[in-house]
Amino acid sequence: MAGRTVRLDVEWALWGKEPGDHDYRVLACSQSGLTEQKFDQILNRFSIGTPDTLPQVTIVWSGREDGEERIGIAIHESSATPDKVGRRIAVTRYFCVRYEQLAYQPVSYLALYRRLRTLRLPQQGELRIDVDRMRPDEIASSVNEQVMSTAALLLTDKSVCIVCDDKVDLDERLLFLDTVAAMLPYGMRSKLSASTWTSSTAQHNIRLSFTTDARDEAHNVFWGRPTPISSEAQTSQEYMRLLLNHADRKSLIARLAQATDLMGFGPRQSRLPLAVLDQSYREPAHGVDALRETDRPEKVVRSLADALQRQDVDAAKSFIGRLKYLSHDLEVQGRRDELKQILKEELLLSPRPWLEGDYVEEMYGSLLRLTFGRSLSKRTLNEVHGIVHGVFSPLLLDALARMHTYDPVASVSIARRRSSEALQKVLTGYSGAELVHAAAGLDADESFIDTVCKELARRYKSQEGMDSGLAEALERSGFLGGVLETCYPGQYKRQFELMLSLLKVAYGEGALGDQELESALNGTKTMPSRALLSAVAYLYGSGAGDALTDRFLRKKVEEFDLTTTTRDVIRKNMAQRRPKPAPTGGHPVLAPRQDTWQQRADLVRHERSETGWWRRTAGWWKRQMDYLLYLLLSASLVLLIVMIIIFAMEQTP
Amino acid sequence: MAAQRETEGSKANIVMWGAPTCGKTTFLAALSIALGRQSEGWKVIGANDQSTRALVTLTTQLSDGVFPKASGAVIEHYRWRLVGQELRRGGWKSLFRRSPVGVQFGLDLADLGGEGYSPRRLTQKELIDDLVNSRGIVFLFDPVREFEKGDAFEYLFGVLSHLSQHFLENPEFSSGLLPHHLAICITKFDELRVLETAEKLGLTQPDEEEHFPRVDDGDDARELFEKLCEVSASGYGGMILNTLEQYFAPERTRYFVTSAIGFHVDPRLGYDPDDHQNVMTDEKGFTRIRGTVRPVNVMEPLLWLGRRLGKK
Repeated sequence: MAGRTVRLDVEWALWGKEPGDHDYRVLACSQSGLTEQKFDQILNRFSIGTPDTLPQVTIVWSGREDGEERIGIAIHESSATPDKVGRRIAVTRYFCVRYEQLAYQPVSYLALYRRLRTLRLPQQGELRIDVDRMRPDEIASSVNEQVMSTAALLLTDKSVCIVCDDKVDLDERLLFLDTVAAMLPYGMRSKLSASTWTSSTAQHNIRLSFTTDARDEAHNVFWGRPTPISSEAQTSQEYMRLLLNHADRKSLIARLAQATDLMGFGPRQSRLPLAVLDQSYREPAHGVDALRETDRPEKVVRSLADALQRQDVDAAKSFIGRLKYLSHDLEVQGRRDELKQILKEELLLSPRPWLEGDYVEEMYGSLLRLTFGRSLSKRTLNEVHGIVHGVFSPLLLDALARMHTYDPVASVSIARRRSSEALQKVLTGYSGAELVHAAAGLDADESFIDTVCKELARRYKSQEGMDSGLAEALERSGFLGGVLETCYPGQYKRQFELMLSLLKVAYGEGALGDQELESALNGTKTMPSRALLSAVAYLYGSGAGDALTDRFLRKKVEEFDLTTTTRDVIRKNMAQRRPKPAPTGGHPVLAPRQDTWQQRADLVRHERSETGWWRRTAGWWKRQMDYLLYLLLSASLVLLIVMIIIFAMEQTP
Repeated sequence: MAAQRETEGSKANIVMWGAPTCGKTTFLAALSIALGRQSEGWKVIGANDQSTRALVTLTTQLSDGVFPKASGAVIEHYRWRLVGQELRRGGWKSLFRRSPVGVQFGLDLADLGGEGYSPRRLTQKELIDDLVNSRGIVFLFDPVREFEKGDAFEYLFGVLSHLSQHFLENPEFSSGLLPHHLAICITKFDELRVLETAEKLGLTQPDEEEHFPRVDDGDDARELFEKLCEVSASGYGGMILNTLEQYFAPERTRYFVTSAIGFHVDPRLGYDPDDHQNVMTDEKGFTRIRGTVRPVNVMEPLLWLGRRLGKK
């Protein structure tokens, strides 16, 4: 039986000012996963305003920063030191945990806060803490209709404000937030921001918070008063009805805590929590007490392996039933490494033709859930690949396909092994931008990249399901240039062809314009790949060199944060062109036709500066000598004419 | 219709802009007190519950001698109204003489902690949206911070560039100037070094009622601003004035020399030029306001903006 506590690795940051500082900033951080800059972004994004009373607690999610979901808790406290202008400094201690740690061993916000509020921050590195595991029975006692309606209102696209005065203390506020969150599928915590206080005049990004005054643009829940749900919020009304239908709240909370698939808020995703709740209504959760009678998962799996070895159908079915029971319970957690070892040694994921298909698939599903958790990732898939030595039976693939997954790489990989129809069905479920995002991730392999490129080309050709964010996603990923280089090392032609197809998907047929060139190359902060540069130059047509310099290189150099003087020199250098070497023979070379007036003027100026004063002076002397020669010739001519005239006159009688 | 009203309500027509600790929130906190001290009948009223509460809290704190806490990295929206009377001609009865008419100016203010204007942070979309949608800006320049740190240009230029980018395709930007009215406020006039600079330049003159020094709005204030920029710690102070004049039309720009808390005036002896500091620091280093708050030029920039925006 699993213990009552959960061990978590926690990243942290300290936000505030040093005594005598003017500005708030990240003063220290764990520097293990998230960087100082990322912490700064997260804490700014979830700023709550300026509270009159401290401490306050804010629940913060993050995932945009480095693509990995985290749940965080920010504790805002007062300090005893003044800043540069003599104002009291407020400090925020921020802690966050990777969501995958909490997905199979849920904890409550209140338990996290109680563990962290007195914790001293280390100099550096992650913290390792033990926190009490979420206990559905404890939370169930705090559920009331106001909690339920608040949870239901969160399914709309508006934020929810709980309006109350200072008499409601911090613990009570946090318990309320916790209980509301427990009325939603656990996966929604990956996108839930909540706070024990927000400024009612602030334009904040907190979805659920306590506040002093009602806000026009939010759902206002008045503390201790009935909270009607307007008929316009149909999904919320429906959700509320389903919540009220559950008489056993402990079981309801346990069931919702098992729904650990990542889930967001907003109208597009509002049906998902309804589906989870509806399902849990039809399939009551396993009672916690009943589960305590069971053995350790490893023991049951060993017994199952024995039964399979003996081809004892009845015993195998019995153990499969017990495994299913165990794998759905929150309180049960096996020793995963040991389970993996058993799966490998006992070949438990191999085909069992003598056992009915439904049982085999159920067995695979339970074993996978117990060994790898409820969510399927590419890493999990790789481990399964190792266990079965790359041989996936159809039923195993079905069981894998049934696992919750938010990882397109994993789901596409399974679907590709199942059938082309399954692959198409899975691909249809993702927007183009999501596929690109996944392709740009670390887990993407050659076959996934190939599938994504083909799918995008297919969608482009059929004009089907082209999403508006696709071009932006491609730009931000540098048109997958880095991934193409990794997956197709040395295959320059292949990289180039794929790049051309991706550029076509983003910008359509035909030559690229200046704007498109700029977006394609500057969308990512990293340097574009050689494939992207080549493809852009190819599609741009004549003048690509100048366009690359003006619209890309110059910008990249500008982004490099140097002193103003150095930057000015660089700008000047980039603006000037070196003169072309003088022709060594033949006809003089004319300036190219496409040179602008300004460029020619620069060239002349540059030539002058290169030749120096003495050469210009020599030119002046040459001109003077020419004038003198003309003068002498003219004078000689006049003299000759005069002499002829005189001679003629003398000859005249 | 209701939705439209909500959307309109969430927009700010005036944005407070300045580096951290330049006194944006203190400036707003002093507005009610400034209006209470004048006899022209102007008052500020909150247009909704949360704005009224913010107004009361800020004013009460300041009148208790406590400076407002530093604002966070989130934009605070205050919907206030300046209500008063102005002499105007109107109707046949007042054909030859002006009569008092009730007027109301909207002060939908956006206040953000100065860190939000930093170029080192990602520029908040909400901040730029507020600036694009507003037509009035109160730009607060803290000469003390500029002298010690010299980073006002940093907090100006990044956001100004983003703002201009939004107006690039806008016909209002055809002249290359932003359409906003800009009140440039040189803050902390009560600080000794700022006051001495103004006095050395011969720009001060005594207030008619309280006898403490003032600097006239407009050219005198601009001259003081220019001189204070010259002593910037970074040497980039001079670029602030040039940049502001490059982006904002001169007829839509006005300079004010302000102090949110004002000078110390002894209730019995009145203003003493040798003892005018209104800020004191306790033994732990926390600052408090020494006497009563007597704002200098706090009402004027907002009233000027209110009138200019009201005309549009």
